Amino acid sequence: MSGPRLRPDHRDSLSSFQYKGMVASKWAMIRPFFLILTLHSLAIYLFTRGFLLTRTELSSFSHCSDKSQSPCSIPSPTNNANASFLGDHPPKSESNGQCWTRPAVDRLVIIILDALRFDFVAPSFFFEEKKPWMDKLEVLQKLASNDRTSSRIFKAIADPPTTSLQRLKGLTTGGLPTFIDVGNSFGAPAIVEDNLIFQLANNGKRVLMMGDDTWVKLFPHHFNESYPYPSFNVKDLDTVDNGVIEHLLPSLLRDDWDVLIAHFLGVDHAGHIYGVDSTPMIAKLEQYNNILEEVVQVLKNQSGSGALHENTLLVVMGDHGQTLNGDHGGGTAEEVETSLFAMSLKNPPAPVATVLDKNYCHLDLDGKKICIGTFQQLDFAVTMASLLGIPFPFGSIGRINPELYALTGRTWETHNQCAEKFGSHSTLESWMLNYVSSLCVNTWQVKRYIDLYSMTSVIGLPAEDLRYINVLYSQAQGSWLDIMKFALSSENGTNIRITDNTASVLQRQIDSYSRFLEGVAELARFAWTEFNLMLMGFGLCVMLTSLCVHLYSIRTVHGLCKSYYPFSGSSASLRILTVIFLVAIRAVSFLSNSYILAEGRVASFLLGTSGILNLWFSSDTGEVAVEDLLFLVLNIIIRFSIESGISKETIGSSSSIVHSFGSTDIEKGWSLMIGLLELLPILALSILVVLIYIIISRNSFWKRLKHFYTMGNILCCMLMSVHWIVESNIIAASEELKNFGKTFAPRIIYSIGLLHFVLLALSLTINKKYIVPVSNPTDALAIVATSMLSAWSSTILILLGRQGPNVALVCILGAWCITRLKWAAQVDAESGTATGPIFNPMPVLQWSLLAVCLFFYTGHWCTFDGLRYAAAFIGFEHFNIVQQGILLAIDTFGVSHIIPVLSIPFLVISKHQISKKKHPDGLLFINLTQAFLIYGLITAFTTTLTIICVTIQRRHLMVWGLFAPKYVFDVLGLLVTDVLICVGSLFYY
Amino acid sequence: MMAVSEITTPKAAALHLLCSLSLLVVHWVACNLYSWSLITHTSETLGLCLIVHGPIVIGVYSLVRRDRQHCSYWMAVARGLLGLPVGALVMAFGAIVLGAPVGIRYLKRTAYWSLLMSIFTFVPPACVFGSSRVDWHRIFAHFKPEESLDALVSLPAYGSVIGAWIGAWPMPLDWERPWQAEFSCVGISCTVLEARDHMHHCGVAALSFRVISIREIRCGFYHLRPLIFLVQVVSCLHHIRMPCTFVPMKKVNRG
Repeated sequence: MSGPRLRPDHRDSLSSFQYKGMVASKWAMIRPFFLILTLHSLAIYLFTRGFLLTRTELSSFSHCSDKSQSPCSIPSPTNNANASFLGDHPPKSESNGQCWTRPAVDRLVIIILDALRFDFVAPSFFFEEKKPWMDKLEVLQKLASNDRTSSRIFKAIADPPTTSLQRLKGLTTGGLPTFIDVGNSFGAPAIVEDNLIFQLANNGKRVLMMGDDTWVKLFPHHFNESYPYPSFNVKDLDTVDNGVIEHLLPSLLRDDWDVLIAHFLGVDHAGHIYGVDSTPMIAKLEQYNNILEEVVQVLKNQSGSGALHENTLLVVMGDHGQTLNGDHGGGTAEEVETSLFAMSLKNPPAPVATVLDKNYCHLDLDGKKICIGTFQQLDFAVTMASLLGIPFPFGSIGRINPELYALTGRTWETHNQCAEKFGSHSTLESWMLNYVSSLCVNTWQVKRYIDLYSMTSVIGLPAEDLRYINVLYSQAQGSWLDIMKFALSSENGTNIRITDNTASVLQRQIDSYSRFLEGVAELARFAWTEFNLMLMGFGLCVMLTSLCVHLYSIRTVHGLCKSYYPFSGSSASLRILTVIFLVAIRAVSFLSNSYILAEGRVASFLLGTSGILNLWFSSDTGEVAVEDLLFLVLNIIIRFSIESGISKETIGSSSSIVHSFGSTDIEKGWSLMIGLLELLPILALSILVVLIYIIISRNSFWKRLKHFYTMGNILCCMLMSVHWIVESNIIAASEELKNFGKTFAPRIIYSIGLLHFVLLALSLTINKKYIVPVSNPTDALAIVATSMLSAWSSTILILLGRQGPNVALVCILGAWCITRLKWAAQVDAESGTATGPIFNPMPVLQWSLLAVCLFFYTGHWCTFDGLRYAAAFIGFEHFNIVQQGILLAIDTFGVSHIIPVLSIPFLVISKHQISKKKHPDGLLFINLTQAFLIYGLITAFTTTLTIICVTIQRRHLMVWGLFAPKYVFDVLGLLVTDVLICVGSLFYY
Repeated sequence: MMAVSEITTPKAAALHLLCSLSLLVVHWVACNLYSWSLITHTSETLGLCLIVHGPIVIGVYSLVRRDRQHCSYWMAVARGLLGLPVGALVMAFGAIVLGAPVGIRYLKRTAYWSLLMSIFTFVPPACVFGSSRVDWHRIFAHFKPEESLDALVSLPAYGSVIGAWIGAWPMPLDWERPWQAEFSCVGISCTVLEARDHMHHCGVAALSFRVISIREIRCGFYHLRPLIFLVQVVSCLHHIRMPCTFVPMKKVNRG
């Protein structure tokens, strides 16, 4: 190795320049990090506000008895007439079987045809052009035109995201599910919010379910009987449908259910595979037509007085639409518009036409009239609940749909004594009265939800809109009170007849309730369903700007570097190109969902590629370094662990291998084996301790506090092994020891880590010379970095659990290999200078790839069920959002962000140590800045691509399942990286 | 660079033609006679490739061995045969680093694939140069072919490795999309193209090595169109299906 050929005069000028610049340039070098952090935060804030809509799930449930709190209870004649209707008389549910509303139907048959487009059901003359897939469900059209009073086709409007799971959730809860429904079910699909199915089960209705197994996942314990069929195989058009057909018709003749749900999947799958305009799709529709015909036939046969289906409502509906290509998930008209067909088997009286046809009739067929109503899917839960007479789901914000309400015969019957007080007996008026009283409960229930939501949610609703809603509410309920008072006073003998204007009074009341409910729905839609493309665009722009700033500051630092050592820099262009290529293909791969799924393996593939390239580059000099080979072997280890992690993910359990060994029933002969397996991590831990001790003790410059840090780490490791031994139950320990090992050992470890960190920070701010007595900046940097790492490592280790020591060993070995790269030093020898990471970004790239690999290696993956929740409870029994949140964050980002970023200095240090030359002091920090900047740039670039991908794919089928979690993880990772770089720069410079 | 040319253009062209033809024949036989494809009969097709292509490569490259005075034809063949397992070991190691599955189920396929890759990469220089360290270093470390013989040996080798890498890269893609399935069709036509390209190379060796290498990469890539499939199939047959089976399995277990 030839020494640096610096001309003496140049060196002189340098040193003076350097002394002047040193202090000032510390802040000059740190400033870009903070600028970038600010830009990233701003970009992410803006984008997230536009993209990720959040809603808090409330855990309250509606009960029959709640109605007494509402202003809608009409005092029944059995009660004291003087009792206030606001009062607290007992719930009447027991007395006459009425809960919140009077049941209008006895049984309900819901047939869901997944991805049912509106034009599958509506007659073709509603559209400009007749397409091959139209008019296939003729039975529904025939019913709608022949029995206009009892059956009807609706255009049902779904709310995005139009994926089956979110839609089923929306239909049953009557809310607007968003991507992040903050609540207890974080990660698990089961619905914990109040919902229609829960209310059915809770109020003694027997529910029979058949078809798509998503239902069973959403409602694991609610069905009396269920025949779920797997929905995963998109190519399979028939399994689910055949299963449903097998059970549907026989079930219709049974009387042991109250609500039947049959969910067909064929149309959805046919759309996904073949598109809408295809033979399989048409065949499917024709098949459904036949089935529906049979169903209607059976129902009609049984609809006589006293028969099984005397008062049954049949609902045939889609959960969402689909585009012509069969995609859905987004909010375009094709995806959102689905249809709903309802048929009541108890005919309503003739005046129904006045309700149905008054506002909503659209078109005339030649000869026959066919009407199509509109229906918001939001209203489904509450409408069904009111028809069945069960409490409305607590979080429902829908309105009882008047047309559907009018279709059922019993809503036209005068059932209320109060109605007589109005003196009106016209069927229309009694219907209106029924409807108004239902709407009153509906309004009260929605208001109750909105009040509770705005009080308790994480991100509330806009205050101004809330005020407007409140005004509407008080108007509506105020006028209702007036009417009620009027009615009561008439009962008390004044005998005022208000027949002349009953209808108009009630109509006004209906309108004022509707105004309130529509206002709420609008507010909710605004807050929970619409992407704000403006904000997203701004966020993306800021992100791109930050990339430019990043590149600019790299250039600036490079210029600074040049001022130290002027050199011509074209020799390493191949390496830079390689690095850019590798980063680019990794980033671009995120545009595909399958690459996101396979991210861990792809990262290890790229890491392996870079290792092989290293080997190739180093074979250039004729000698192959051991480190290169070791690195490849290490890569194999990482790769296998990642793959086993993925198989664990597929199985759905996050327990470690040791755990699964322990949990299964194995014969006694295995106990020794298990014991050995339990001891394995402790063995690895002791190797780790020795390694750490060697590393620390090799640094001879570090005098003070050295032993404190060493001892602290060794103590931590001992506590860790105690903790694991106690956890594994292989030794019968006393209760105190168990308690100590389980709770106090981890807590002591956390506090030692914190103590180390605080001590380091204090000694650096108060007196840097105390902890770093050496003048050589390379050694000083090494000391600070080592103590920084030792402060963090033990906490991260114990959170990782038993795999921790192995991970740490892999991490240390990998880092060692990367820092020892031969060809990294080779560049120095060739150009005679320490060129810094700008000319050789390969180690930084490997560092970053290794970090990504470690993330997956430690059993994480980019979904919320990939979080290792168990780690949050190490040392703690009870849940506390702050404590457990911090622990979970440290576990998630520890080994993949905290450790790699904080140990970046070693990259630079080792290079300066390898080259064994005397460098000007400032160069070390310039190189460190470069390394930080390049590391940050790699992370920022991949994250930017993720953001772009999410923007492009925001209507993708998997957007909520895959892209959005990936976005959240990437964005948080970027912020953590930025913050850590800032912290690191404050500590290290 | 033009000065020392140990091998004439027609000879080089014939050599490449022969090698390519043998691959074509294998492809034709596998497709039409046995109706095998790499996806359905991975190890059988690879074995056939090995049996037909291997002897031809060894035989042909031994003919153009460098030190003819000291080394007989059979000696060169023996060198090639010796290089075959060594190269296979290196290739297998590389494949495993990059993600090839390990296990008894995959042993046969990985072995066949590594042997075939070894024939593409290791065997030609072993036949031509023997164990001359200087030559190996010149060819593989510097990436600078100085003579036409070097190019004859090194460029296909680089092409195969890069082609195999590129073939491995799109593995995580979900193979439901139709354009991805067209990989195999392109392969056949390109093998023919490639034969023509090779003649150019050997004739116009004076071109700067960058240009050649780019073209050669393309050639190698095409040459390796079947190989791309090999990598996909051999190393990750279960990975390819991963995106399709992966989500469902998760679903099943939840339910």
